[in-house]
Order: sequence, then structure tokens, then C-alpha cells
Amino acid sequence: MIPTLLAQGEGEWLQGEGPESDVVMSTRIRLARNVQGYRFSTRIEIGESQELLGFLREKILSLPDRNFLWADLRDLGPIERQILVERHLISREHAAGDGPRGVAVEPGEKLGIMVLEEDHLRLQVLISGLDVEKAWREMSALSSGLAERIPFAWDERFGFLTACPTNVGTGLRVSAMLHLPGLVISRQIEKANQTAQKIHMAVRGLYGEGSRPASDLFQISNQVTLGRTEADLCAEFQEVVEKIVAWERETRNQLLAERRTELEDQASRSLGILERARTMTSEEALQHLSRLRLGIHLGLVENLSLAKLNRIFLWVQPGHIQKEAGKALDPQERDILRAEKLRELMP
Amino acid sequence: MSHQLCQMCHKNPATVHEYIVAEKKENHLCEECYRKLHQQEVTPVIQLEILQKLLFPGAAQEKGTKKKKELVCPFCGMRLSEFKRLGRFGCPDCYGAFAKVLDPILESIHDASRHVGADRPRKQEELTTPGTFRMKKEKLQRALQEAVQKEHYEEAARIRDEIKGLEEEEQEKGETAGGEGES
Ligand SMILES: [Zn+2]
Ligand SMILES: [Zn+2]
Repeated sequence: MIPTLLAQGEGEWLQGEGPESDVVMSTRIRLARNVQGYRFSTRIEIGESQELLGFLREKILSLPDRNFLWADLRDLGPIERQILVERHLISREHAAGDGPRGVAVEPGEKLGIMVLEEDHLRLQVLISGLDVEKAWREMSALSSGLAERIPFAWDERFGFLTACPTNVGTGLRVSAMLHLPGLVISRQIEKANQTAQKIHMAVRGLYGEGSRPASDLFQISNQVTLGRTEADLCAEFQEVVEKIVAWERETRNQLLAERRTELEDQASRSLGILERARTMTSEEALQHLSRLRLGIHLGLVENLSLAKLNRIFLWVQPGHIQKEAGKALDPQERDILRAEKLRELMP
Repeated sequence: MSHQLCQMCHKNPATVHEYIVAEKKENHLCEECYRKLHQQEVTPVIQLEILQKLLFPGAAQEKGTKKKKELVCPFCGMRLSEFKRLGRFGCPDCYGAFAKVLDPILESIHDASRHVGADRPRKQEELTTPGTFRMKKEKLQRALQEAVQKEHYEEAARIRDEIKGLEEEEQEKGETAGGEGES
């Protein structure tokens, strides 16, 4: 069988391995690049973008020692696009656009390229756990390979030119997905955010519900791309995230010492609900999965690996549920199928 | 659990839920409104309004004093006012065209206005794209038009020669690129 981009789906970042993986789900590096001779997305004409898409597709697919799979987004339906968003391979903006645009992904999904998003190229490295240096090495190799074949829009003063001035210079955006239930439970998450902001990092909760993000998942990223070297940006990011990781662990241990029964009770209830419910929204699922994740690390839940839990986080999302059904479903139908799927997956 | 409606449009079911830590604020949105709210996934914090404020500090005074000619990118035609509205440039030349107003904007976003990161990759100047020649030609043709309008015929002739040279170069490049192609 010819491997296709959509048939993939077991991204390496889901493995639950790598440094600090008890707190850090994944590290991502994105690099924005534009191609010489073409206007940016705000101004490019359809003929030009069609030509550029073909040019970039050829350059990407002929990279030596790489094995990129390609999809033209115009060939994909809404559920297929949604799945790529949930797999972190394309942004919501990229999925929503209707002009010529593409995505290239290597099997394993560590390397990905969005083509003709806001910038002509958005290169991505996505790995499990926290290892900015490793991610940067991968990114460096990928961007050098492309730079041998594609002339980038460049200016001596401003560096790599991007459509938005917030990305100019290095075009480098480092981010990590952190699971911070300890800091949330102990109400220190705001303090963590303030610390991060002081050094130009942004923390954003994902999939929130009620008074806090249901999944306790937070994304942290650098805000500055100009006036610093890539190495400095990476090193500083690693350092900040390590601090947050240490803080989260300390808090978890403290919670375990002081409120063990409460945490055990929560993890067990969540397990019970996931095993038994007949209908479940994705937010509710994420909330219980988050408690299970904490339970695993505190040794309160057995027979469930982190890798499997990470996959479940992915499978309960709307696109994946509909892919499983093989058709578009309304939210209520999704909730029923989600509960069914969860009953099947729980240990 | 019941399904919440999007807090922005109150029409579609809310499928994206996020918590903005800094603002202690929750958002429950449909995909469409989420995208509207966060124009760009990779620029979550610096939103358009902030950019506009940075770009507009002297806007009120400017109007009162004298009417200055608005900055326009000579290549893509983007006007400064349009850039202010979109928060996005139209082409690489915009950086040069708006250089006068760019430094304070960059300073406020990055605390810096000059790139100190990686150098331009080696041999980039030797590479071309189909767009490289077209862009150069477009620029020359525009200059030619202007020269003719101003009746600078000598200059017009010079530009015509340049265009011809460019076309020849393009053909050569095209042939070598074709030869190197599939291996
Ligand atoms: Zn809405
Ligand atoms: Zn321009």
C-alpha cells in the first residue's frame, strides 16, 4: 500500500517519552519562511499561488534523505482537515482557507510543513517530552536542506521576512504543551503565567471549561523573534519550561503528601466515569483524562500507559470521532460514540 | 452535559474552549469565531488592536497639521493604512517601503529592531524561482512606464535593454534548471 498522509496518525510525539514527559507532552518548533519573488498571502494572486504551490511541492518532495508525504488541502473534506488540526499538523487557519495550499508530513509526523499558510512556508518539528535542543537540531537540518533549493525573502536588517512583523527576524516560535494539574489545583497557575510573561513567554490554557481548562493543558511559547539568536531563544525557553516543570513536580508531591485520598478519589471517579458513561462531551472527556494522567504519575492508576493515554486524548476529539464513524455527526451523536469508544479503550 | 453555544455569535455550538491565563478569562467559541478572535495561532498575544495602537500614536495630530503623502509599497501597492488594518505586510518590499515607521513597531513587539540571528544561508543569491524574474520584470516595466510618462526617453531605453537582458537570463536559467531537474 502506498503510504498516504491521512493514513498516518501515530505521531511520535504521542509516545509519552523524552525528558520531563510526566509534565511536558510535547515540544514544537516552528520556523516561518517566505519565498523570494512572491507576494505574501495578503496580496498573492491565485495564478501565482498556484505556481508557488507546485514549485514548493516539487522542492519538498525531492529533498534528499527525506520522505515527505503530501496533501493538497483542496482535496480534503472538512473532517479530514479537522483531523490534521487535531494531530497538530496544520493550524486552524490553514484548515479553514480555500486558496491553493498544502501540507507535507514525514511518516512519524515529527517533521511537517504547512505550505501557503500566512507565510509561504511554516516548518514544524514536533517531538515528545521537553528537548528544545533536539527539536532545534532537527529544524536546522530541515531548513538548511530547503535553503539549498529555495531562495528565501531576506533583508540584512530584518532577517527572514514574514507577513506579520511579530514573526520577523528568526521566524522562530518554540512552544511546549504542559500538563499542569498540580499548579491548577494549588491555584498557582496565575503565578506561573506572570513569571513566564516577565520574560516574554505566553501561557495559554487549552480546551478550557468551567473555572479552569478542563484538561489542565497549557501551551507556552516565546513571543520575541527578532534581536536574539536562535540558540538564545531556544536555551531560554528550555530553562523557563524546566523551572515550571520543577515547580509542578514539587506541587504534585506536596499534594500527594497532604491530600492523597482526595487525589485517589478523583482519579478513581474519573476512571469510573470513563468506563461507564453512555454520553460524553469532549471537554468532559478531557477533564477526566487529565485526572487519569495525574493519577498515572502519582502511581494511583495502573494498567494504563502514558502513550495509550496520549492517544486517547487525540481519539476523543471531534474530527477523530467522526472519522471513526465514517461520516459527519452532530454533537449529540458524537458524544454517544465518544463514550462508546472510551468504554472500549479503558483498561 | 449540555452543549454550550458560542459566546460570540450565540448561534453555533461552542467547540473550542480556552482559558486565557493572563486575563483570567474563559472563551467558549465555535471554530469560526475562534479563528476570528485569534487571527494567528503563532501570534497569540500581540493582537491586531495593540499593533494598531502602536502604529497610530500620532494619527490624530497628523491629520490636524498637514496632509502628508501616505506611504505606499511601490511593488505590491499596500498602503500604510491597509497594513494598519490588516497587521500584515503585502510583500517583502513592504519592509523597505514602511521602514520609516517600522522601528518603533518592532521595538514594541520584540524589544529590538535588528536581526542578530542566523545569517542568510549560503548561496541563496544564486537561487531563483519562477517568481524572481516576473517580480523583477514587473518592477522594471513599472519604471519604464513612469519614465515614458515623464518623457525621460534615454532612461526608458536603458530600462528596455535591462528588461531584454532579464528575459535572456531567464531563458538561460530555465534551460539549466530543466537540465539539472530529475535525477
Ligand atoms: Zn461563534
Ligand atoms: Zn509590498
